[in-house]
Amino acid sequence: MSSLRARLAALGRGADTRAAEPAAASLRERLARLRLGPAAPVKEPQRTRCLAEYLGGRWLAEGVLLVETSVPLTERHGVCPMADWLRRGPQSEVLGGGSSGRLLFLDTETTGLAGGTGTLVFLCGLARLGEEDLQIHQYLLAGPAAEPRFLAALEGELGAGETLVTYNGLGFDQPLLAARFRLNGRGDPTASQAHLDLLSAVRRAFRARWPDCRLVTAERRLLGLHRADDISGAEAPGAWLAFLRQGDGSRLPAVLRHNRWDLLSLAALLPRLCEVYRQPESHGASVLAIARFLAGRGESHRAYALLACNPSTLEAEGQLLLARLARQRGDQAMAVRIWTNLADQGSLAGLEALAKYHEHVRKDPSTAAGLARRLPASEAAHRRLQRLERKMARVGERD
Amino acid sequence: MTAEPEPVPGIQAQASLERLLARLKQRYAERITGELVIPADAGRYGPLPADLDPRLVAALKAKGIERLYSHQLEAWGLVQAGRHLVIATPTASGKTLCFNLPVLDAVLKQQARALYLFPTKALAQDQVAELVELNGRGALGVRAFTFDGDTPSDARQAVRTRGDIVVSNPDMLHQAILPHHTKWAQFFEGLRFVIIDELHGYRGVFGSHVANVLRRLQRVCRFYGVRPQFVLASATIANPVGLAEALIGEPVESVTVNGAPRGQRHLLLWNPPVVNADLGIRASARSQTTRIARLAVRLGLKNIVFARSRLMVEVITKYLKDVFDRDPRRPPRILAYRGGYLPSERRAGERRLRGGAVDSVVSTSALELGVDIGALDVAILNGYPGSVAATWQRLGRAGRRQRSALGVLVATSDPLDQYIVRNPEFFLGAAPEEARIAPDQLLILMDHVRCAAFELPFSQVERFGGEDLGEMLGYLAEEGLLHRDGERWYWVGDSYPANAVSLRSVAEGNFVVMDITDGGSGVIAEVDFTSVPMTLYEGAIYMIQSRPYQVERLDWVGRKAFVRRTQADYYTDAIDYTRLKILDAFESGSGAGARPAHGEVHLVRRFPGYKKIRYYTHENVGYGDIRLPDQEMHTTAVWWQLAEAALARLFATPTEALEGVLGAAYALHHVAVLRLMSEPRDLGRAVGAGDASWFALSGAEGRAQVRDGSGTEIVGDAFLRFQPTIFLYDNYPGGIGLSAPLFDRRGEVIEGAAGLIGRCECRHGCPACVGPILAPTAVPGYSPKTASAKVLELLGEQP
Repeated sequence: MSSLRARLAALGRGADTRAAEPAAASLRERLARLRLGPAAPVKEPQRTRCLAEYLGGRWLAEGVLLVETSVPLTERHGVCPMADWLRRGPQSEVLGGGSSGRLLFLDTETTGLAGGTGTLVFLCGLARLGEEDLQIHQYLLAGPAAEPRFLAALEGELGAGETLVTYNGLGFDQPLLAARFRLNGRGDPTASQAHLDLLSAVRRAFRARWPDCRLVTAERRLLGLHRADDISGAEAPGAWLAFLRQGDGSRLPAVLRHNRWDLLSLAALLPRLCEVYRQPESHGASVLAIARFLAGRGESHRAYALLACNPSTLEAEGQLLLARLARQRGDQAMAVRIWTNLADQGSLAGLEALAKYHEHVRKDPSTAAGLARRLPASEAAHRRLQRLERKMARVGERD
Repeated sequence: MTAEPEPVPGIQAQASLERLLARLKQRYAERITGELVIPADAGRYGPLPADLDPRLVAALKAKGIERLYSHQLEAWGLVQAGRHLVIATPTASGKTLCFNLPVLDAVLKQQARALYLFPTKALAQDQVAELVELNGRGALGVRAFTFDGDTPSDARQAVRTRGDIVVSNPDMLHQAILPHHTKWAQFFEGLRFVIIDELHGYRGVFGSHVANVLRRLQRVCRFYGVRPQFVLASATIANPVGLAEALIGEPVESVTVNGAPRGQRHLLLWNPPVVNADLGIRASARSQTTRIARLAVRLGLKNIVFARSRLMVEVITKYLKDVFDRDPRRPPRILAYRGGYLPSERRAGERRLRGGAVDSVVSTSALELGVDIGALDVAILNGYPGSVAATWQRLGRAGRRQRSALGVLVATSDPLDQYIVRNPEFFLGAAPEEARIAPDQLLILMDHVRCAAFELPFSQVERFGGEDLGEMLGYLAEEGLLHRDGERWYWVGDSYPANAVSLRSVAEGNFVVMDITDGGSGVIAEVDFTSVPMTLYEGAIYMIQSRPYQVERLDWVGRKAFVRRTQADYYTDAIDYTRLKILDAFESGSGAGARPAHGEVHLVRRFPGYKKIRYYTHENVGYGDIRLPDQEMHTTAVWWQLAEAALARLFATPTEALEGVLGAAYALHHVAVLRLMSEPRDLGRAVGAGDASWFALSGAEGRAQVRDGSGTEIVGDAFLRFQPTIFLYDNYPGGIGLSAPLFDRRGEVIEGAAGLIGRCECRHGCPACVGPILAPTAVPGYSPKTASAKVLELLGEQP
């Protein structure tokens, strides 16, 4: 061992001094760790038995611990009890999720954020809404060798026609779970499951309004929740590794609590976001982004209503969308009014829309040409003017 | 591919080519030291294989291909027999079809999948274009996609799940595919072929990394229960089978006899005329190269100029543009192409080349590889590329598609070049070099054990490379990256190790060059870490398409250089101080006056300043300081420690002794590069004390100088007591295996160096033997040349 270490240390003297400095620091750290490490590892059976008691769970199989918790809906989460949030009615279809089936809130804790096959899921928290409570199941992996049993246990919970609700689950938790199942030669039960990722819903509504869209930000701004005494997600891997390497599980309860809070927030944020989507302006969300989202899903009626109710807050882009939706409803006059207004304010898009309207709808090439000449020179503008001139000539011939 | 009609403009080009050749031979007969004519070859053909899928037969016929070259048929047979295979035939001999046929056939018949690896993105894109074309001819419905850094993320899923053929590069395999192999599960489960083109490019550090990436690939394949067949294609090298086997770790069959027809090929070796016989100074290669290129352009011959450095590319481009691109209203006829340009700029250049809009392209080795650049008539090499294989590869860029071609190798005053043009039989008869890799180089191997552990847990009984795997895993566990649980070692680190490993270097991190002219902040180039100290120091003139920029600020930590457009009439050249310290001798020999050994050394390189050199006159017009951290490296070397007494006996003054030692080192270095068949940049040289207390170099006036560790000049002769040592070192951290063979062949190298100096025509020493000397010394009976010869004699003395 020492020979390999010595050879590497010699080579690692580095190709440049920038690399050399941190290397020297980490050598000190390594030595410190060697001196202060535990004298002898705790015996396996004793250690794991203690863990179950310590965390209040039970062993499902060797190395797989299940911790079940029930959180009464009367408990406060943020500025009001869970029940109050839920009373506002979870209508996930507002956010783009499937409307059928029960909801399964999911959040994982992992050994890293990089993704890829070397990132382990060591804790998978699942929550379902009951009449009186939120029922939480947390599956903890006690060592990497137990992963096949850990995944077998999860298979019993996943893929049963429920809709997954996550925060960044589409980008992170789900692909990571899929990789773990695949790596262990199993099918991915989440592959066919409907999935509602609240991060995309939050991003859509608040990207331009908030400094960031992290879960803690959403909690603070939408639920009034300030977590006290919580560990950060980044500390979780260290807590698990301390247990894995030294049998020190003292920080695991904090990880489990962190994961439970994430699940509670998911359950509370869903109805809260539905409210935001119904009345974006009163929550400081982007009316335009949500109207676009609705229009994109074919709900142009609701998109129109949203924009028409908030005319004063609309920027040029919102007005253009409103004009487009008005035209779809057959309200040409409203569309023309909006475009004219915009064109008067110097909006080129408004001007162009008006030119198109006069050319194609009113069949009035000379008015269209008059408008088109005010547009800046470009290849498309040039082609349009040529076309309009041909049309005018033809109109002239007919006369 | 085969049987395509000769393009019509060929006839006119043929006449011009003969005129150019006649004019060169008539006007410059004394500069041409060697000539080689490779006659045209009609080629050998055979019918399409009977077992080829009928859809593929139809596609080939639609493309005008009714028969195959003999080597394509041979490859077909070996692939059908299930062998790993390497095809080593010259550039433009239809190698691509050798692997495309069996792959497409297997895709059509068995829904097989194939992974194509090319060393660069540009080559991958060419390859897909060719597959798509053949595919389209026969409406085969085969889905071929590139997968590289430019593939948009929403397209990646389709590539993974729907691609029959995925065309990528080793870097993507290393950083994006293997660490996410579960996303590629479907692809891996069907993987039947791995195609590796441009095999000869996988040597040295890069090849050693790629061998390990392939070890990882094979490991992941085993996980999915497949054992793909490898088909590799290489330009001419001495050991295609050896390299292929080292790369994939399994036995490989070969196809080496070319059946493709060839046009006539004419090669001239060109030595610039002597302009100062006293100093042995010749006219510059650059002036000769631009002269030949100008002649070719005027005769309407499309040509390519290869220069050895990015700087030289820019200088030659400027000189040609000064002649042909003076009118800014006309589209430019001269194009510079090299690494460091942004991909978009390179792609645009490639398009202009293929469209025939460029009369002369000036390039580094970047165009040596198979990027399709259309038909060219003349290839001019400004300086020997450093290896026989690279020379043929570059010459092969002219005269594709059966057209006659002319190649001119213009020698610089470097000893290696001079050796080649003065001994034309050496080059013309030389076997191409062996490509070497050292996949078990400890740092490289450890990098990939880390990556492999991330991809799949290691089991107790696995093997990976030549070192003890258990020991390596134990080390990584101590580092906190792995955890042993039962029979397996699991990755538990929170990092993504492949991101920290660059296949192209041992050192890390590219620098970006930002143009801050007019308050901008656009990235105009990227420069790899190792070139930065030599090219991007503050004050340096950095050129892009021969437009000069001056570096205003170098942010070493942030990996950024800020440059501004300038009108400077000079370029800059960095001065390099290198000191070595002997750490451990693995083996040593004995000698009366000098003790040879090889082993481990620690190297410290400093760039104290730079010279400003004026265009055209090439006079030195000033100096500037460079403030950069020292570059350190641990590597292996061969060295000779000279006895003080022996030197005192031979030389009147320490300066003379030192000049002899420096001159001997210079000659040894160049002969060693040639004998080892390595690239000049792979091997470094230095003269100094074995404990790094001082080092010697040729000063500005051509006289030897001695400086201490801080770079301060030492006056006097005290340093001689510390055994002057000549080092030839492996120029990569950890070394890539050059020192041991060099030590074994030191006798040959000393003899060759003595011959180089003894047979040189100069009087006192010149760049072609002992290195540049500025003025003949006034000391009677002394010259750097004789001093160097004496030192070499000392090295060769038996105990």
